[in-house]
Amino acid sequence: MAYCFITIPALDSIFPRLYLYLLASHVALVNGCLPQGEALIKAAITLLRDVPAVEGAHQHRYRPHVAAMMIADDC
Amino acid sequence: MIVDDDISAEIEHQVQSTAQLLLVFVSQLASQLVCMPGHPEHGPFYLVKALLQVLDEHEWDKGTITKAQINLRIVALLAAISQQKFIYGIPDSTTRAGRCLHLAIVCAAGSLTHDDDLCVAHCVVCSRAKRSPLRWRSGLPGGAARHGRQAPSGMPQHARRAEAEHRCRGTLEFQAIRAFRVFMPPLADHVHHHHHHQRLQAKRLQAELAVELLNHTIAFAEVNQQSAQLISNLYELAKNCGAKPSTLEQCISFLRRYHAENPSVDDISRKLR
Repeated sequence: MAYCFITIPALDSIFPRLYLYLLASHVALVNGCLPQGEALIKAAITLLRDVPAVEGAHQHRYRPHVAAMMIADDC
Repeated sequence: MIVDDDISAEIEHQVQSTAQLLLVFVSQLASQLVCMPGHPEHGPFYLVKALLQVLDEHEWDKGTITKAQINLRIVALLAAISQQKFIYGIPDSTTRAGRCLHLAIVCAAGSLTHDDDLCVAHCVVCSRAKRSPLRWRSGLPGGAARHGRQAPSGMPQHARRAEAEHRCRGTLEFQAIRAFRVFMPPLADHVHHHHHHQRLQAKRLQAELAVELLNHTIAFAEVNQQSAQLISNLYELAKNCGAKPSTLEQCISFLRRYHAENPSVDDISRKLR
């Protein structure tokens, strides 16, 4: 959970970040980690402030350099 | 790593509104909030309140009805929360989460005011379910203790419960339809705006929104004179704006079945004829 919480903000595109927060909070709740689940939901709600009115269609794809950074982070 | 530059370049200049994406995401978020426990100090709906605040601050396109649709999703969320038993929850800790939620409701109701729209909305949906919005069980404090939080002190717990119950019942009696008034102004704004600018598109959106609000009112609102009038008005609005006859017929057939079981809804049937 901590890994997800820290690395999700590294993603560039906003909607994948939102959905990953939701998924991670789901996993936290299923495993009985209520405080972590709450924190992830709060992060998602806070991130909603940054959703732009319009965005480019390509932004829904994961950006390659971000994926590479996440692998580097793991090492 | 293979990067498909051609495809990226091809769609680089395409721009789309995020309103629909936001609606889908908030719908999923709302379904998750159903089983999220409340906070003993900040209330049972602190996450929902935070969500509504963020959505209020969002800049919405003038030509969309997304904000109104999201508000309707929140109504559905409150209706789902009002159920005695959820159809899904947190495994092995559903009961504890539920207790924590209800404890938070008790604590929040101690400071309930008539301006607390979410609590009023919750009361309305509970009223529809013919039961009190507040329920207590023995041994409630387990949820709060697990979080390491203490319920606000000062007033004995039984006195706090009695006062909370009294306030909630008062709210129910005098402001039963208020929750829908809270959600109606944004809808009216959108409809008004559309009517003056893009007539054809506006009519379609107007019909879509009217049918959606009609469905939510039938499903969640307490049946009384005001809601009967609202249903009647929405039906006429949807009909005039060109909503599909089959969709409206489904609403009417549901109301007829409901009428057979509840003779008290005579008003609605009479108005829709």
